[in-house]
Amino acid sequence: MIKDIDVVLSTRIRFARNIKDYPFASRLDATSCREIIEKVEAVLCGFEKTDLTDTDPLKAQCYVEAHRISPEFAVSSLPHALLEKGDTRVMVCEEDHIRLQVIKRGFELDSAFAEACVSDDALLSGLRIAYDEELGFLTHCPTNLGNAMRASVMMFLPALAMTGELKGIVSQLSKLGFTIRGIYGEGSEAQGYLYQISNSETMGLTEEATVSRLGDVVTQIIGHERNARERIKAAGVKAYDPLCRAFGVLKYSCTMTSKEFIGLYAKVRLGVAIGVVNEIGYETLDSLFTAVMPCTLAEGERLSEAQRDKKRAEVIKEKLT
Amino acid sequence: MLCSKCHKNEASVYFKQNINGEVREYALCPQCAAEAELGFAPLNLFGSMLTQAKPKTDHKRCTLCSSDFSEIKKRGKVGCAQCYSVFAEELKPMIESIHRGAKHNGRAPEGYSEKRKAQNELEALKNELRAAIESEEYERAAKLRDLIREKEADND
Repeated sequence: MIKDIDVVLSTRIRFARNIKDYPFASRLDATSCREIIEKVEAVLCGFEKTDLTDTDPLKAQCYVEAHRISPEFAVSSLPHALLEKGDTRVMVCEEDHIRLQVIKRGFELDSAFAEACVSDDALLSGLRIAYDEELGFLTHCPTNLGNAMRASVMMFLPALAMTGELKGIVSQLSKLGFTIRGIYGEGSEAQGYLYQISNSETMGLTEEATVSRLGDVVTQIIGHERNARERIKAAGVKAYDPLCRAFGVLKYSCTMTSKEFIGLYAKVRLGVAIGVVNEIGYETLDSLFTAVMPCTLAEGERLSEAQRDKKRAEVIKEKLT
Repeated sequence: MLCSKCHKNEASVYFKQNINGEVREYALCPQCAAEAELGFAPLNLFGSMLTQAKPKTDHKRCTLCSSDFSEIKKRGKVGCAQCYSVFAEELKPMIESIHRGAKHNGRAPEGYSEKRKAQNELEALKNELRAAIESEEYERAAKLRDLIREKEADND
């Protein structure tokens, strides 16, 4: 049983670290990048390395769609590599030399933080990490100074969005030092009622305090979302009929754009959550999300938009049958 | 959604153009958006925060990454970790403004963490001493004072 999977899709903890004596990414050369990759690899035991330096852009985009790397990392022109072990992924030579992140399904802030600390301890003891007593970890962008940690939770909040309650929550979040944004990172519009909530402050609070405050806020939002869902269900058949119909369209369509998919995905997921769609679980539904993304779908082939939409519908049908 | 220009990368810049009622919608990847000259320059808030700051010596350069302050202002990002000490004075107002004057409190590399731990212990003892004096527990206060002196000597 994955904790709070009806509201929280995933939890992520990310640390940014840089090695002393090397310039930051914007002034780094290829030789230094390779040296940094070697050094990081040497201190992290049991990690599997994927060198992404000359990877085909379409393949790199698949990694982005699966949330294994950031979009910026995918298009880097300098040598860069990904180190992976379980839920821990380390991007080497991203905006910062090291971007260590742990992503877990469901609401798992404490265990994700604990796991990130294990790999971070290895980095902090094995490498000369750029650090200042007052400024904390020295990062390429001054906004990340301090603990250089981003703790974030990907939430599915359809009921709060539909009832208009989300607006009030958003304004309170920013006052409390949290940011809320749409699915593919900064600036993008919220899609499929998926929202990422993360800490915006990195200076002054310890990592534990940041994680605990985010945990408190998320727990409260989970409660509000569930209440709002109950109200939708209680409103009767007219309110939840569109959710059941969405499942039918999702399963039996012969062609589907990614925009349409996301809309249907959200409706079906809400249907599963309030118990009116019983033919499918979160695991299958959420795995579809990555499987039907444009590059993952194309499997390295160059497909036209029409071909892609047709293949998307086929993949969905196969998974739901 | 894939970029409508190169059809390779994921689009992340969406915009609508309305020229005399003729509306066009675009979805571009960051590279194509940069090449397309959309008529707006990328927002560099940090750089603009630094425009007020003037370097003390005009030709000061970081010895590690060779950045000068005008380049840092342009990018809104420093060139290397050493820049934070080379341009400490120039960067200070911006860093204080972003982080509201707060100081780091949290994880630290080995060596630093020991030092930080010792400092925290010392701070706690000093608080205890203040409390002991306030409650007129002078014997306990004297013991705490000696302990603080001992710890301070160790830290030095």
